[in-house]
Amino acid sequence: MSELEEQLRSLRTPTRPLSTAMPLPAPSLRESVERRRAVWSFAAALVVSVLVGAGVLAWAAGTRPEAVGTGPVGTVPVTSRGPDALGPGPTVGLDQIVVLMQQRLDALGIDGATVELRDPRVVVTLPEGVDRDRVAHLLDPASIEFRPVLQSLSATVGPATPSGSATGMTLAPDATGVIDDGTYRYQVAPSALSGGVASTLAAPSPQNGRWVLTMLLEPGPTGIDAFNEVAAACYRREPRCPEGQLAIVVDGTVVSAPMINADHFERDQIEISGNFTKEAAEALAAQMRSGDLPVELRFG
Amino acid sequence: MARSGVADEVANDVEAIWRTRRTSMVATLAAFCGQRDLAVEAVDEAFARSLAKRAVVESMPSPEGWILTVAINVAKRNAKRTTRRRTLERVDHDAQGPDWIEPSDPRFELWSAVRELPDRQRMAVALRYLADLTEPQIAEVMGIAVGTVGSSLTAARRTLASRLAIVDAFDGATDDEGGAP
Repeated sequence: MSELEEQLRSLRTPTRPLSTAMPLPAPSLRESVERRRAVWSFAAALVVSVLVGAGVLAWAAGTRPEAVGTGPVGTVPVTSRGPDALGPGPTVGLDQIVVLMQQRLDALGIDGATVELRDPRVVVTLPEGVDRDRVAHLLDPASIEFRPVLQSLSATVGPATPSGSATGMTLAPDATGVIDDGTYRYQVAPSALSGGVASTLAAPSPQNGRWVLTMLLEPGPTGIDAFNEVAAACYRREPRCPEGQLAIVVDGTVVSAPMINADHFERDQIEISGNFTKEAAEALAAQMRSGDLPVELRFG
Repeated sequence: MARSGVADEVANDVEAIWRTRRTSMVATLAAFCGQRDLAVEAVDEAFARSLAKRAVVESMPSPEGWILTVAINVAKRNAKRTTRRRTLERVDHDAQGPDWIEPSDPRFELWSAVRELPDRQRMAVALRYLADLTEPQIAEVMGIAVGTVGSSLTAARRTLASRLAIVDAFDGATDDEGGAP
């Protein structure tokens, strides 16, 4: 059982204990049973519709048809460029690319595609009849922004988040606006830092074995300096970052909105922790580093 | 409904269930409706009804499941009665009275994050971790497919992890909590 699950179970115990007077039997049972039947239809109506795929909708923004070949759509071989394309920092495993491709295909609403690892390649096989334009941006580098959270807007985005809402549309870097993460909706400030992430790695923390993300930022004003400036504002909860949270926005979608717990960071000593499972940490790392996937897209 | 998994662990008599399971039932209801008082009321009313017809209830395959289901329905009915526009399934930010987990409690952050989950995810999390139901049992209570329960729980766990995320500076030289790797 994961730590998160353990913590959830701990919520069974209230802050203040319950009193333990045994209740008296209810006077009228039949009436309540009839009510109960009526309430079931109410319950059925409350079932919220699909959230699947809402998390990563933004891949669909923009097309680059010139990147597409002229051959028949069917098999899309994706070839690793090799580790030299990665620069410093940890490499992206092909198995994680498989996961990421599957996420992107899901986000694009393409059913029936298969993603296979045929080392050293990742092969994406598309179902019949998929419009090539739809997958043209499958491997587009992601944009990543750091935006202070001005306000966490109440709870749910709603049962379905069509692409007409904030998700899928890109907020201008200097604009304030509302962004979803598929579950929550955030009002965010203009981007404090765009790009600047050299690499991201999911790994168990050496301190306690919990899964965390370590983030390596670029040096200088387009990296760690800009990050530190906004981090300090968040840490002190200045008006520009009143919630102390910094939203990490990948391709127009909030992938995480962590609290900032320090006012100064070294560029190679930034850790995002949050009761992550291994899978959740790796998925988030893959999203945050999708800007430099060591892959290319060719149509067969 | 078939709730043999939990029923095996507790005796089928109402008093035993009251002693062993009442707190987790109230916790489940509190996660639903956000009000401790309302949750206590619903669970106690359900127990009261089970006492009124205890011979019938105690002969059921899962008395506990019956009581929990009744409590959920009572809470829904009460919520509907007290507020027309806001349903039980909405997070009630104006809830009165002490919360199940209070702001001073270190678990409050997690509790708030659970409370702000979308309806279906919150219900699934409460039934899974607070009421301790299995996924098939949750599917039955919620009237959705087992696979949907699984994906709701997965989505909820991911959201909670992301929601509770913090960015911290680490420094191997001074930070030695938890001991060496």
